[in-house]
Amino acid sequence: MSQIILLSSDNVEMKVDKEVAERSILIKNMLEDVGETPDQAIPIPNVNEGVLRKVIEWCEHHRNDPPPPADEDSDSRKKSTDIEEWDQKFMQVDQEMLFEIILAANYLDIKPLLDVGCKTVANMIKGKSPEEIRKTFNIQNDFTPEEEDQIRRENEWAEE
Amino acid sequence: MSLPRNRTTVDSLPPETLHDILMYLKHCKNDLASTCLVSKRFHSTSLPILYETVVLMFGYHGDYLEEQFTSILTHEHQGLPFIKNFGIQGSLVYFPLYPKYPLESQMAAEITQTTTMFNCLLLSVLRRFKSNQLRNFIWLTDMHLTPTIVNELDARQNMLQGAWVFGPDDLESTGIIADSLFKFLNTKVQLRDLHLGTIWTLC
Repeated sequence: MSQIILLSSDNVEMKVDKEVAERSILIKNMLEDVGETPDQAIPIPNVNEGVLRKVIEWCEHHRNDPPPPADEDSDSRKKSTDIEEWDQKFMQVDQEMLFEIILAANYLDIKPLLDVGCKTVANMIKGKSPEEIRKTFNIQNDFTPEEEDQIRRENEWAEE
Repeated sequence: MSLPRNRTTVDSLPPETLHDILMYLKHCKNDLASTCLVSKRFHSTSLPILYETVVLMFGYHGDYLEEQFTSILTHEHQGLPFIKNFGIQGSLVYFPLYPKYPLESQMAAEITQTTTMFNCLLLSVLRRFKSNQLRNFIWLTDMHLTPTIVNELDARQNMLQGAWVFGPDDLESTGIIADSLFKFLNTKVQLRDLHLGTIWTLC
């Protein structure tokens, strides 16, 4: 099994199976462009060691997953927020790490990991009031009371 | 409260990722109504998702439907331009009793009055849409659809891909609705009796 070396943003080298690293479409395309397995480390400038280790852990566990369905039609994609048990446990990290993983999955183009991250955040939003959501994610309310009133009136039909 | 610099938070996510997250709440209108109120960024990302499909639902006698129309008709409504699929669902009459038994005349009069009112409110909403804004028109109710509504759709909404109609539960009037809808939708119309569950997956 051929291996490649990834170099995190904080200059830490990590050896991984090529097959595992190729869960990242970015890396996969890069390797295809190069043609042969490179001896030198591939720099991943946007991802630090801790996050890269987490991402590789996920890729290791999912190395044999079938490729996601080709049609990326958002309608056909199941919009369920169910997450398999292993992934749920994997995502039990602090918020900073959670968003770092999402950003890394986005940058490295690992769609299934990005989906798991997005679902995790969606589940954290579900059933919460606006104030609870702000508290959960430490978001500033930048509306004036008048703007809030207007939005409330507009969306009244949507509330049960 | 100020955060340490460079911390990764929900605000660090690119717009398309926040959009992907909120798309998982597409069918949870309650939750999207909440995310709209979180911040300006959440509002502008949630709005197009919340408003893509708007089906006003009501109970017997048209309970709460007027309030919902009032909400949609709010002055300078920011969600309205995003609506692609619009309609109403509910029945005025307690279903098992109708049409097996003839309605008392007082009740029949009330129904006519309510139907007229809701058709007027519906017309006000339709007039606020831009030309060719709608993709689907959903009419799952025992209310009659007036010719004015059909004409309005015919005149300004030429991009409709489908209309789901489940009209009053007597064949003759359903036939009339079907005919007029067929006319205005030309060949594209798909008339089906659908349950709302099916509509959610289609829209």
